[in-house]
Amino acid sequence: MLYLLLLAPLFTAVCCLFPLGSRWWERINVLGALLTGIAALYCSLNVFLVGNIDRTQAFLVIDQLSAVLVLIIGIVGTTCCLYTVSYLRSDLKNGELTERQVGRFFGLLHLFVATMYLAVLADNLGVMWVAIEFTTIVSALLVGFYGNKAALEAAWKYIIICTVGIAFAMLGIILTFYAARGVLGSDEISLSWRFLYPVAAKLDPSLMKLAFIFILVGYGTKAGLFPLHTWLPDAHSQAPSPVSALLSGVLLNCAIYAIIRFHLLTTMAVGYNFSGRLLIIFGLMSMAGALPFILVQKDIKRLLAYSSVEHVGIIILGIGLGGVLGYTGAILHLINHALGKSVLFLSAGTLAQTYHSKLIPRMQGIGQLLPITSKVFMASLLAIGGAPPFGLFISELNVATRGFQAGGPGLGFVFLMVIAVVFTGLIYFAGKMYFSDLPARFPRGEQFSVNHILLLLPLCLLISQGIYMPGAVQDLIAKVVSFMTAGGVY
Amino acid sequence: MLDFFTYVFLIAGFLMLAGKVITNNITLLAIQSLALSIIAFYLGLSGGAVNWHMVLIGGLTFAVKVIVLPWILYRLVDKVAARRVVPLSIGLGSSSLIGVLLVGLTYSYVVPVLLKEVQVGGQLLPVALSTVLLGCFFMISRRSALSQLIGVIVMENGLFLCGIAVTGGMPLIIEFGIFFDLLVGALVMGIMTYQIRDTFDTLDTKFLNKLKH
Repeated sequence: MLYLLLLAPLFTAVCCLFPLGSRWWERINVLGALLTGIAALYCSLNVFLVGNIDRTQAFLVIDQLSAVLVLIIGIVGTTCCLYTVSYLRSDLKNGELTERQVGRFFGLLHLFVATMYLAVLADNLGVMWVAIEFTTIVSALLVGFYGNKAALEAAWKYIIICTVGIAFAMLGIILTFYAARGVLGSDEISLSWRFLYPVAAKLDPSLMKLAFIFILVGYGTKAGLFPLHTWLPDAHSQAPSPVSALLSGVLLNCAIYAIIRFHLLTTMAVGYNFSGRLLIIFGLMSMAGALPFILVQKDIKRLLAYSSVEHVGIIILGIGLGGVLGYTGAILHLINHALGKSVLFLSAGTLAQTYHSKLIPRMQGIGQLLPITSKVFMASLLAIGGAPPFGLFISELNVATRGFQAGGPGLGFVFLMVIAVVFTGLIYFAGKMYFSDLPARFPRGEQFSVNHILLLLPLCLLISQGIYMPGAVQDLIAKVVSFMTAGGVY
Repeated sequence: MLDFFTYVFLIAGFLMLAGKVITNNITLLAIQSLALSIIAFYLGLSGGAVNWHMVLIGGLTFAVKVIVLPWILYRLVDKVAARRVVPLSIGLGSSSLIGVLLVGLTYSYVVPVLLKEVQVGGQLLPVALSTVLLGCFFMISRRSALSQLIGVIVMENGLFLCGIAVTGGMPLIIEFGIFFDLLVGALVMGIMTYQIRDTFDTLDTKFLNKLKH
């Protein structure tokens, strides 16, 4: 079943490379996306419901933690793929793309999704590294898809910075392999998560410390942690909007997932204080570092990209603080941010397409231009800002509580202040866009369509999570958290 | 014997910093990769029993990094680079000096102090890490997109030697993955250089600075 998760998007990608015409490409895309989405839902829920994980498969393994990621990729990936249909149609109409490019776009999109599944399902540290490097290569092509100057510049910076960054992660993996070889022998199994976790306490602590630093630098670049984030706003703002949504909602999470895995391993080998403290520092830095850029931003997509840097900071902080509350907050935030940010990018993309501009001062009176899309946009912006009743409020509250508990009042205070200021900034910009008059040259109003349902689904999940979380869902989260507090052992 | 090729590996990486003609850089890259593949062959064949793992790595390195990649790069230069001389952001003299400093840093601090737990003798590890740093610096000191692509491959060479030095080669599936990765990555970056050249009419990365804040 797990192999289907890789094969379905791969097969779709191959089909999209044949010259079939855009109607057929759209159909193939919809079918492939739905099939992949259903397979992902089945695989991840299966882990929680059956509980007994099939561990005989050597190459791909799904456990509680990766199940969360598969679920996120399933939901967000499918939504984005489906949304792409209408996005590309209007791009075609505006003459930004040629029809030949449509097929290539769908193909790359599904290839991108496949590499992300491989990254979170791979049992082997090295295979995971290769998969994450592949996500960079494929998504760089998508970022530079429009081929104009800005897009190419963003894509080039993205692929160069992330390739160099991830090379350092390889050094970390080499060191881990060296440390594990003494315990497990030099076979492939000494780089397998399943075999590493049970023997983690026997690994050489000073080697693991070094390895973790390299890993944090390497995957941290990919996750957009603060001093290493420079590629992120460029790539996220220049990419076509469905790709921005995938980059922000899912790809960052894949890198965070790799960091979490290594954090669990290092914690068991070295003790809690080392990697946890590093993550707290980097988390706070990302939150605080993104703040000034959010407040002075003019480009709506760059604004959202910097907000992603901040949210990655929150998640990393939650992981670093640890404990049941910290982990719960981080995992919930991982899910919530993916849902909220992808909706936000998709709706902002549609708005930007209609205005032919990404600049906030140009986008006036969004409420009159596209009443439904702009309401979704405002709602998801409130959600990302962390306002109740959305799920992000709950997850941020969890992290904040743990921050006061474990990091002292100073840390908790800084955390809350950053969130409050970012919220103010987001609301200020959104207010300017919504509560203003539409220039007369634009037509008004829009029809309710399938796209809005696609946008509303994740949003409904966010709201329902904030108002009432069913016991079953709480159980699922509790299972993930206990998996993490136990240190990755089943 | 082993030491000789290790030094060839290092010196090739170092000489790249001292030249600004792009075709020479590619030739040096091919020489460096050749040294890497000979090192792998030597380690595979020198012991009592033949270590097929190493031989395979040596063969792959030869095929991918000595033949295919330099060939792609040469073709790319033919197509895109009207001027063979790349613009520098740091002068040749000072960049060579910084190169010496980086190698010195690896020999005096990184390997004996930072990596003191990694007990591997010989020159392989310091040379490998120096090359990673040299490759990184090579990318910074050149302003051409093509040179940055070459820098990435130099870094990968260093990483590869590092893997050989520390662990005697990573598991085979990972080595394959890395080769495939590098090949596809280089191709994609090649396509992008082509597009950049088409759109910007130059490969000079100083024009890639429009996106800020």
